[in-house]
Amino acid sequence: MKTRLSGTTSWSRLFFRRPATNNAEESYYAASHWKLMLRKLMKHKLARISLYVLAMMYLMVIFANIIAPQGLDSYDSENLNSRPSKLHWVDPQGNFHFIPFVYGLKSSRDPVTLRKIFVEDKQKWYPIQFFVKGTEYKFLGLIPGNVHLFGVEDPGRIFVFGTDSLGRDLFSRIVLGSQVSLTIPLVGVSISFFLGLLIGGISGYFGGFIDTVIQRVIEIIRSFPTLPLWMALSAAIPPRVPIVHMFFYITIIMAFIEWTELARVVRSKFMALRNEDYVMSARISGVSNARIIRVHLVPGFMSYLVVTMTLAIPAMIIGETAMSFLGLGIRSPAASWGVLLQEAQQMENVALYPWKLIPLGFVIITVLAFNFLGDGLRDAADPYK
Amino acid sequence: MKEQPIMQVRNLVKEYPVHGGIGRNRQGAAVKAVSDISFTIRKGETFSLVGESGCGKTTLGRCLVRGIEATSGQVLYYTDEGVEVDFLQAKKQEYKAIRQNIQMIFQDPYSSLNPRMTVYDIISEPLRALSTLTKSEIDERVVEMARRTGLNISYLRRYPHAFSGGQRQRIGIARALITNPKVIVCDEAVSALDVSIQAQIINLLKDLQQQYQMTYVFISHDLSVVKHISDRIAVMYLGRIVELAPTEELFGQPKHPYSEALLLSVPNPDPTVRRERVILQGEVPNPANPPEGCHFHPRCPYKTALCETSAPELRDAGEGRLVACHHADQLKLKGITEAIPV
Repeated sequence: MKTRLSGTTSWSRLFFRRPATNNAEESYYAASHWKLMLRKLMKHKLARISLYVLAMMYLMVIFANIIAPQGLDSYDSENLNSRPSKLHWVDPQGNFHFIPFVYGLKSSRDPVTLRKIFVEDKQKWYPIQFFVKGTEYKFLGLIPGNVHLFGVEDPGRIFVFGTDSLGRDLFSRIVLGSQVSLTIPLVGVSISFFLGLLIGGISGYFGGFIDTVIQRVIEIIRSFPTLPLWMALSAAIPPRVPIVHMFFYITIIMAFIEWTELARVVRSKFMALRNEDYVMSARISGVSNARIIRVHLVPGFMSYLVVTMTLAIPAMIIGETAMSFLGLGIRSPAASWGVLLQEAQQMENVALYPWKLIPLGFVIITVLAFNFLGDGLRDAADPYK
Repeated sequence: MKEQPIMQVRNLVKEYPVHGGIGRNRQGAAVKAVSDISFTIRKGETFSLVGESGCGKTTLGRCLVRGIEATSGQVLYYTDEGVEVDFLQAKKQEYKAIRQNIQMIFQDPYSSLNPRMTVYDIISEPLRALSTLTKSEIDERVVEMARRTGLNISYLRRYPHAFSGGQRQRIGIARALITNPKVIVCDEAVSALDVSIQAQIINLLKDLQQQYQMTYVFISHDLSVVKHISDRIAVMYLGRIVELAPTEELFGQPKHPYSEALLLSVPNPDPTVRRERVILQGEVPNPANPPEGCHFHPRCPYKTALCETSAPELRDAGEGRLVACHHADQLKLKGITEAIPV
C-alpha cells in the first residue's frame, strides 16, 4: 500500500472509498459522529424499542386510509355506543373456523337498567375478510382507492374499539386521527427548529445587546400561561376554515411557544462551542467565519438539537390533544386523538362506555416512546465517553 | 543567523472588561491580562514564555497568532524579503500570506481537534483555507506531513476519538506545520501529555525545527522542559515580562527575585543534593486590581520602600538581558547550575 501511496493518484479516493482493513476496530475508528451516535442509541434498549413503536405508528399514519375499515364521515345510526366486537373462532355448532368471524348485533334493552345494549345474534356470522372494498378514499390525498385492509361483508359490522355516540367506528377514527395527531408535532417542531436555529443563532453569535433583547422576549413568551394563550390565539382563527388550514394554524400556535426552548439550546451551545479550542484552531488556520459556523459550530450542536427536538415532540402531542380536547383545535368530523377524547369529557361516557378512553392509550404510548427515544438520544449525543 | 528578528512585539495590551451587576454599576474595571509587553523574537530560535498560572502567557501567545484580538499594540512580522508587516492590522491577501507563516500548537489535544472531522480533514484544513493548491497537491502534502510527524497513513481516514493523547498531539503538530510556517507558538504543547510521551513530542518538535528552520515561541510552566529546548526565556508575572535572558544565564544567575523563586521551585530528582528554596509568601494579586509600585513587591523577600511606590521599567542589564527590578544590580540571586533532567 505504501508504494502505491507515493504515486500521483488522488489520495482522498483511497482514504474514503475503501476501508484499509475490514475488522470491527477499524470501522469503529473510522466511524463518524452520527454513526457512533446510532451505535450507542441502539445499545439503549428502551430507545430501540421506542424506535420500533414509533416506526409502526408512522407506518399507521401513512397507510391510515387502508388500515381503517371506515372513512372519517362514515357513521352507523344503528350502532350507537356499540362495544368492541368480539372475535370468535368456534361457531354455536362447535365447528372451528380458521378465519375468525364476528356475530351480527341486535339491539335490546337491559331488563334491569332499561339501558340499550347490543347482544350477539348467533344466527348470523360474518368471517373477517382481507382487502375488501369499502368507503372511497384518496391514499395520501392523491391516489383514489377503496380497498381496506380488513372488514366484514354487509350488513355485518366490525368495531375493533367500539363506536361513539354517533355510531362512528372508534378504531377507524383513531387511525385516521393519528394523521393529525402525529404529524402536527413534526411540522410544529420543524417550524420551531427553523425559528430556534435562526433566533438562537443570532442571539449566541452576536451576543451583547441583541442577545439581551432576544432572551428577555423569550422569557416573556415562556411566562405566558399556555391555556389562555391558546384560547386567545385560536379565537383569532376564523370559525369556518377548511381542515387543512386549521391544521396549519394549530401548528403555528404550537410552534410559537415551542421555538423558545430550541433557541435557548442553540444559543447556549453556540456560546459554549465558540470558546472550544478547535474553533480557535480553525480561526488560526484562516477558516472564514461563515465556514466556522457551518463546519465547526452547527454540526457541534446538531446532535443536542436533535435530542431537544425529540423531547419537544411529546409536549406538542399533548398540546394538540389538549387543544382539541377543549374544542380549541381540530373540530369534528375531522379527527385527532384529542377530538376523540372529547366524548370522554362526560362522566356518563367513561362509566358506561369505557372504550372511549382508548385514544388516551395511544397518546400515552406515543408520548412515552418519544420520551424514551429522546433519553436514548441524549445519552448517545456525546458518544466519545 | 540567530540575530535576525522574525517577529517583534510592541506595546501589546490585552484587556478584558469586567462586568459587575447591571445598570449603573456596569462600568467595571478592565483586567489587563497582557499589559504593555514588548520583545523581539529572533529567526530560528526557541523563545520561551514562563510564569505561573494566570500570568497572561497563554493570552499573549494567542494574541501573537491572532487567536484573540489584542486591545492595542503591534505584532510586527518580518517577511523573507525583510519587509516589516503588522500582523494585527493585516487584511485579506496580506493576512492570508502571514497567516500561513504563523501557526499554533495547542495545549489540550482533546479539545483542539474537532471530533466530527477525519484526521485528513483536520490536517488539511489550513491548506484548504489558505492556499490555492489543487486537491491532489493537498493530498500529497498531507501524506508527507503525516509521515514526518510519525502518523500512519491509514490513520488519515479515522476520527480523533481513535487516538491517544500523544498521537492526537502529533495530529495537532501536523496541522500546524502543513502550511510550512516560519513561526510556531506552542502553547503548553506537552503539558497535557505523559512524561514519556512528552519526551517523544519534544524531540519531534526539535527535529522538525531543524528540518524546516522554524522559530518556536514556547509557552510553558514546566522549567525543566523549557531549559531543555529554549535559547532565550522571558519570565512573566501578572501580565508583564519581568526578566528576559538567554537560557544559560537565566538558570545560572537570575536577576529578578521572581525568576529566582521560580527556578528554585523546580524539584530536584537527586535526593543527595539539598537546595535552598525561596518560598513565595501570599497569593498572586488580583490582576483587576494590581498593587502599587512593583507588582511583585507584596511577595518579594528583597523589597524596599522604593518598590512600594515606583514600578520598575524593563531595562537592559547587559549580556543581552532585560530585567524589571530596581535592585537587579545589587542582588546576588541564586540559580540552579546542576543539570535538570527532562
